[in-house]
Amino acid sequence: MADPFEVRMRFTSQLQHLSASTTAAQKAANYALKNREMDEDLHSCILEQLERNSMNNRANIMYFIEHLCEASQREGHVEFVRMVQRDILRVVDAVAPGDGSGAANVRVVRRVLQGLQTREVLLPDTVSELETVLKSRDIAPSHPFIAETNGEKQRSNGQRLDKRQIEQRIEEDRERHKRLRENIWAVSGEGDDEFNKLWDEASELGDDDYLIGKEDAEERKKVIEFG
Amino acid sequence: MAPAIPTDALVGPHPSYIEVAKPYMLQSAIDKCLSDLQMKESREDAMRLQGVTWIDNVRRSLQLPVRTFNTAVVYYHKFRLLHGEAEYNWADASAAALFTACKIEDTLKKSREILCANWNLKIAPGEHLSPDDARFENHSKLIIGLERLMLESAGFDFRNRYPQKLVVKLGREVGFRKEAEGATAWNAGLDLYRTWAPLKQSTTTMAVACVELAARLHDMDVVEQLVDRGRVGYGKLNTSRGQVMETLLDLLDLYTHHRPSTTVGPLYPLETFINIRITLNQEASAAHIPRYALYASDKPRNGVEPPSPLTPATPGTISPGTAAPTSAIGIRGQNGTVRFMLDAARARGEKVAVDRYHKAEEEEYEVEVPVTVEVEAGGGAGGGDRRRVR
Repeated sequence: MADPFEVRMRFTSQLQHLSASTTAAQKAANYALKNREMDEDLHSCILEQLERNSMNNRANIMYFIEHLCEASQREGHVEFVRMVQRDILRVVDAVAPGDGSGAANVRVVRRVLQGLQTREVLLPDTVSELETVLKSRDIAPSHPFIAETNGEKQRSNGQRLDKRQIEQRIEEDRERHKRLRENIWAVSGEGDDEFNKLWDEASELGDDDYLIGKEDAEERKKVIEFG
Repeated sequence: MAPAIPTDALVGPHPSYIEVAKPYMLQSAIDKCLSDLQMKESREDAMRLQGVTWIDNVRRSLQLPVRTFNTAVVYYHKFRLLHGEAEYNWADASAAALFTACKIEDTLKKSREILCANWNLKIAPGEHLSPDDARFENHSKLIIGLERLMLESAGFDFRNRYPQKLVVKLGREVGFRKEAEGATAWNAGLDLYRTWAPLKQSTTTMAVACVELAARLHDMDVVEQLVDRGRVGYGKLNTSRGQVMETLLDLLDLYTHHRPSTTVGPLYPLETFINIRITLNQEASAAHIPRYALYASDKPRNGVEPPSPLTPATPGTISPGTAAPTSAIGIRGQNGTVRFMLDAARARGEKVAVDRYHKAEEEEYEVEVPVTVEVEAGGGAGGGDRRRVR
């Protein structure tokens, strides 16, 4: 039985070091479940880090929460899920705050909320309520269209995004984007899923197939002619 | 002595070697490559089958679609035609082929993920590793290094084939049942990639052959129902009985000699395949269909027999675009830049234009030159001396 203090520390460290990689998120989620007897404590760690760290990190924690809920449901330990449901507004407030400094994170929040709704962690009503809250936070006060004309830019609550953080965020977003695109083409390797899908969905044999056949045949003839 | 051609007046382009991507290769060219590499048939078979199986297993575990499998296998085959056995390990080549194919087919996977997937296939779920485990570090770099060679072997030709879709369309057209003949045709399509057919045949030919074989395996009345009939007629589809026959026989060779390593093979007894083979052989003899398609330059001239697929063709009948021997990758680069082109006609045209600069023109002709003969004791030759003037 690990020392509770050490567990808290390790978990906190994992949260602080989250990245766009799903492996990091899954490792942290698995760690939380391994130490499920400390669930309240670990949940409070999550809230604490959400309110303390950079906007980038908060976005990563938001994605992590989705993994945590998935792992909890899978292992049948719904306490984590219950606590997320209870505190979801606080989470949203931390990741996409009212003052607009988290404008970059609004999309993240939306996506994760959708995911949680699909997993039935959150009710559709809850999600729509949160959505209305989000709408107003979509835009930073430093945005040129609504900036005060006295020229004060880029200072909201002292949260200035430095260059390194911006670059890091760009990298992480790129990584996440690649992962999401996988859903377009990924097919189950099992059995004949791809075959079944193609059988049901492919169009009828038609003119374009004949045309491709003709072009291929001509190309092959050329190869035979000239070697 | 040859009169000097004033070549300083004509400064030609920097010498370069053009590698033309071949969208198709025929069996004779494939065999020549293998014999140049001194690859024994049994060894080649083993590497080919193991590699394709490796690629299939790993791609399924990564949930990659079949078109990525197709492209990876073709790269794997082409790579092995240019690189000798001693140069690489077949599993690395399979991994690199799959990695390259993932990029080309826009189904991105990191090289670590591919190696990790392969690793995890061999161990229990509880011990599965994650791709960022340090043990994949160096191996992953090796794979990335091989990627360049993969692209070169394929001649940077990204025109890829996807016969499975056509197999499905044709199958539906001729009334296959999805779970029966349809599934068999699909799996035959996967098995087809274990042969050389994907390098030799067009998409249409491959699809037609798979459909016909499935029909035969399910005892359909093939001749009546689907060989060269109606909407699946060879004219409309632009294939020929000869091409289809070669492909069918390639498949049957695979099933009769390597039945356990295939998908469809284990589902039927060996005799079934042998019987189908006999029927087809009879048809081929009666119709004088050669076992393998030939290049125009391979065809018999003046009674000279075309080279059989197993003997290397004589020099001069091999096209300039055919793969060079093993270490050619390095050699061809020594004489100038290596350039990759897709259009063979254009490459020929360029060669003709460029050669004018690089070949000194020489002519030999004989001229009668009157020579005043100083009559010596033996008496000179009558008439003029003939001298060769170059």
